[in-house]
Amino acid sequence: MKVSRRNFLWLSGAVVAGSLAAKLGCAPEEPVVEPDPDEPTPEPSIEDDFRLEFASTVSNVCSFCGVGCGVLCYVEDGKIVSVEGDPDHPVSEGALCSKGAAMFQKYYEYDEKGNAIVSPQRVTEVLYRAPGASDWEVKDWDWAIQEIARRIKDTRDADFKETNDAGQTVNRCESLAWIGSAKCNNEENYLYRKFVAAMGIVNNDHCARL
Amino acid sequence: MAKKARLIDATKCMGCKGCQVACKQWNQLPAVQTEFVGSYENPADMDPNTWGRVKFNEYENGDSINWYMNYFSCMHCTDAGCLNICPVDAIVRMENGAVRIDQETCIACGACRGACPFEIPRISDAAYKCTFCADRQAQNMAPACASACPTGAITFGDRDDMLAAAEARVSALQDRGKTNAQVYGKDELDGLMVIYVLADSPDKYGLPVDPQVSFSAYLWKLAMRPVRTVATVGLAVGALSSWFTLRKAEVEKEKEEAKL
Amino acid sequence: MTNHWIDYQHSDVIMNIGGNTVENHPISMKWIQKALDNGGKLVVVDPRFTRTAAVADLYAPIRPGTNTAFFNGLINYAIQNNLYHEEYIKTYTNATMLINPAFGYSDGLFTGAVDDPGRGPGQKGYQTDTWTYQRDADGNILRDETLEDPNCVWQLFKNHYARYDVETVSNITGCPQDKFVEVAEMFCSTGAPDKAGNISYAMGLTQFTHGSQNVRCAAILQLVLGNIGISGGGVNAQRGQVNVQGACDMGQLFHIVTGYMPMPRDGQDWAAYDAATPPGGYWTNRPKFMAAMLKAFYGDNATADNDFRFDYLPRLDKDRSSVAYYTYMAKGEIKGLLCFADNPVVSGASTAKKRKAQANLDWLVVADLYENETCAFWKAPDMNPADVDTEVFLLPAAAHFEKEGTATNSGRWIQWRNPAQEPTGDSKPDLWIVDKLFKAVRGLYEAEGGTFAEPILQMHWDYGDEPDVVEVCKEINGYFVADGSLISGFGDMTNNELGDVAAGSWIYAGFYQDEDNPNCKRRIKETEGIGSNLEYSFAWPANRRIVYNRASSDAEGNPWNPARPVIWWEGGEWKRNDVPDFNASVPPEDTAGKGFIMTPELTSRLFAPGMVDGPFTEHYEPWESVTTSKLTGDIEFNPICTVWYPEDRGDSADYPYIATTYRVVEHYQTAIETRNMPWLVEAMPEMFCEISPSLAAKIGVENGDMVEVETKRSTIQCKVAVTPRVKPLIIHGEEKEIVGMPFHWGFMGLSSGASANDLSPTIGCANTTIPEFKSFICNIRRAG
Repeated sequence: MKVSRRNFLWLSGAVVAGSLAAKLGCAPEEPVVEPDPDEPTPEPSIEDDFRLEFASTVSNVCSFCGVGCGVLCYVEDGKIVSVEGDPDHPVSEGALCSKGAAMFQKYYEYDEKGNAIVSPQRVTEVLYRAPGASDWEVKDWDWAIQEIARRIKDTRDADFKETNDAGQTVNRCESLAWIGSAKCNNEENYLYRKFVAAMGIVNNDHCARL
Repeated sequence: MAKKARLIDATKCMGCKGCQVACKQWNQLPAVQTEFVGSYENPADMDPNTWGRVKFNEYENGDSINWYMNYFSCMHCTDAGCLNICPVDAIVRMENGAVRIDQETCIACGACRGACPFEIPRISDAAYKCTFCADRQAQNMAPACASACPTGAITFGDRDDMLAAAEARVSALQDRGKTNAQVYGKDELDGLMVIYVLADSPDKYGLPVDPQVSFSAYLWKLAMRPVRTVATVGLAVGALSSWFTLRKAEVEKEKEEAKL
Repeated sequence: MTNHWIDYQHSDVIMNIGGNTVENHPISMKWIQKALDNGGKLVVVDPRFTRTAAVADLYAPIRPGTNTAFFNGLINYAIQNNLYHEEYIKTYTNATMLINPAFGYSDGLFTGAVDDPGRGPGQKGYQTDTWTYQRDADGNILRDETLEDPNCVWQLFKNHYARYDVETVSNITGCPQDKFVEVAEMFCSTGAPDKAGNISYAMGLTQFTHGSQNVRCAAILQLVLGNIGISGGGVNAQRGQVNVQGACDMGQLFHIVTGYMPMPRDGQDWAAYDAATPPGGYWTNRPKFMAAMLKAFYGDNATADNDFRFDYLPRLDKDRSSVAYYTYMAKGEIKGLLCFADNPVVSGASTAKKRKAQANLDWLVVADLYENETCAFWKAPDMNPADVDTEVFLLPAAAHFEKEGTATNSGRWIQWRNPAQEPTGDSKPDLWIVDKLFKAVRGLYEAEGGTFAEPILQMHWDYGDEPDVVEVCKEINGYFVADGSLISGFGDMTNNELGDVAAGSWIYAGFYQDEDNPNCKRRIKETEGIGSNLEYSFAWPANRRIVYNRASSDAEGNPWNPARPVIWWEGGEWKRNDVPDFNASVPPEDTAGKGFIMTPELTSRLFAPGMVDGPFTEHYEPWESVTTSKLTGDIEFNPICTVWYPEDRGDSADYPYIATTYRVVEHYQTAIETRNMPWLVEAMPEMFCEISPSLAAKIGVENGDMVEVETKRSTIQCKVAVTPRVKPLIIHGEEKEIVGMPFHWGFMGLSSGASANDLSPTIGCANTTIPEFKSFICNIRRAG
């Protein structure tokens, strides 16, 4: 049998208890001092490692509502190990709601043993679903980007309208549609806007309306 | 070191559960399986992996509603039933008033849960409950629940200051017509390290009105305290020793399995 | 938001109506709690007793879909009881201006209504030639400073709103008369010059066929009480998503380009667009802002000689909102959809219909952190994968801690987000994805040529091999074309010639003015002042934290409230706690009455000719209703909104209960994130609906039972919470029950469940097409 740390402590404790018993057995009448409740109890020896001791902090903004609370990511060895409110943020002053407090789980989860594992729910590979298929296939980025670009171009080339029935300039492709996102950064949405303008997409929206 | 306390002002609690999740986040606790049974309160009970949770209680009050929410966790009682009853002294009091369980020593017998007037500790391979974020306190950080709280419904500091703030808040609430406003935790069990400001009587918040350590725990305390060391040793070698040994073996087995 | 989160602490009364701030913007409560600690009051008006109501001083119930009646009643109460701020109204609104005598209103319609079958059977459109000011020969608007001319805005306004007496409002809204009066007295007390009232709202005002009018009447009430431009006041749209503000600012909508400039319409060339520039106010600079955007888009290819390539922009012909284009998709008119971090088959209206529409696509591209319902629509319980020929690409996107850039909060603060770790697995930032996609498409056009390739080939798109977000920031901020140096503000555009500056979204000018020390990265907290925090990040426009702040003081520049001054005239100069929203280089008399620089008349508008459904606000019933309107003649619902599927409208004989949808704090929107985060699944594990004990007794269910909720569109099953927090309301003398449902669930994720939006109707606001999620009709019964 492997002797675990707990086992070892238990055994050593038993040794101490045994020796004490022997000692007490010799002097059973020795009074035990009742602890004075007003006196501070000596600090017991539970040692607490501070789990962020070697972590650095990175400031970011919560990914949920429009309050825009400040968050601090604690990072160790290139991995987020804890996410907390940023006490120096003037709006949130370190506070987080349940969603904000749970943000760590967009990246990792704790298993029953308390180990952090990469969130099994995240999509981590490029996936493709063929017509009529009942499941995904794993693909690579180069393939996906080229295939999507091909479809955008073919659709656009087939359906682009330079003028309407009245002969007015319209320069649009009505058979393409786009949804940008309130989850994405400004710079990303700006490039979506340019992309959409370049392709002539007018069916363009995002979750502000949904 | 001054005694520390959490001040939970239930009149400022809005039930966002930031505290509940922050506790899990900081203490690296996995989620437990829950189900919706018609209330926003979830998890519905403490668990070895749930050390704090928000309680929801709703009452009709004429044509209005009182919907009370409050964070519920270990009270770190001065007269701590769990600490008194623990047969292996795995439960200890820290200088700041916190009641801690040393899982290395704990034998998972469950006596502490039975002795706790709030039924806080929960048992798996050992007993678990709120640690008062001792690791954070050692770094001058507030417990995770208090750090996350948006409205100041959970604050943290020296117990004397928290008590004074609670009393001032109750008097302000009473001035505003909330005549049932009251402090909870000042004298209960010789003083809790969690002080509540409540708008109504404690039972409306799911808190015992007059929490008492159970009679059996007192018996244990009365019987054993003067000869505590002897008793411990006696137990170790006495009639209960076989049970403890068996239990210990079970626990070892669980721990070994957990490590695999 | 006209104001910002921290400013909430200065409110004397906060009315949260059409929002549920605890659940949807929890940290707002930090500042509301401070207001309460200072003696302020929180009023909550909501169909349900919410978590916000639980911490409020006053709660008033309201029938979903009747906010306009409620606000109109408050406006009338303020007028009838002389609680309005007369000096403010005369100085800062168009109350004194005279309106065309031909303008009028009767039986639910303003003058100029004509049949418009294009919007659906019986629907109307307006010819707005009577919705105009009276002008003198020089074009100046005629005024009556005494407010007595029967054609002045104030008199028309008073008469219009006089119909909303307490009894009428109570009959429509179901809010008991005494409760309504309590709210009115409390909120209208902020009409005192030194008091600040704050209206905070969210989608509970906007998601109606008359959503824009709901927001309009909130704004009107605030103007009548003098609550705009002041600290602690405002009309505060609480944005539900981290960067919904920014995505709108970047023009990620069908009807605008960046910076809220309208999309050109069919045949509209540069000259025509120019000619449509507003005749007064700051928008007179619009051509410069548009030229700057086109320079940012097309770089050196855009010159004054070629109208800055304005013709490269696609033209808008009709409603092309996602609501509209899913109806086009259902007809097979859309072949390809690219969807970034959105989940319309859970968040949209009539989602069962949307899933079927997506099967008409040839191909679908989704970029997301999770396998959401939109990309997995072919797996839905009511779909057969073998019948779905749509190709689907699911691109793994990096999450926000795995990339950098800016997000803009509700208070318009543009905040920098630093990356904390490398993207998980093979996931990539959306910036990388769109950059690679653009380059790949451009590569194909370079190699093969193709239809109208110029906008693609001539688009300025050069952010490095791996896109550098800083390069994008610089382009959005704007730079001088001559030397590439960054501009520092609007003045660099308005004071220079057309085309001298390239700027992606003009309203962001100055947010990234210095590459080494950009304003949006600042982190200096304010230590004294009113909480503006002018050195923390950057707020558009021009780092201004409270917009319209000229109106924080009177014509002479004296602050309405000396204890909370924003900008005020003292000792011969303007003192400031914020960035002035007016020309502060001139004395107060030069800007008196010109506090609203974004309108041509330089005032705010009690009479608003720009709304498609009328210059004053009027209560119309929701499209589906359990009752009929008693105020609007034969007109039942908004006559201007577009009816896509008339056959989808239920009858209250079959669907006797009011249905409404909402969110809970534990989940986020379609919850594809939070339903995949175990701690949040634990905290709110399942789909449910909420009903009153009286309705539960009637249909024979108890707390926790399974029920079936049915509308004309679809039927769902979920658990039921039976709670006195939902109460029936008395509407025109009849008791009406409410069924409330969160819309967070779908068929994917760790926690899956029925989608409330399978039930909601495809109908939207007349002005914006935001769907009417908040009020429709249903039936409910025990399941099984």
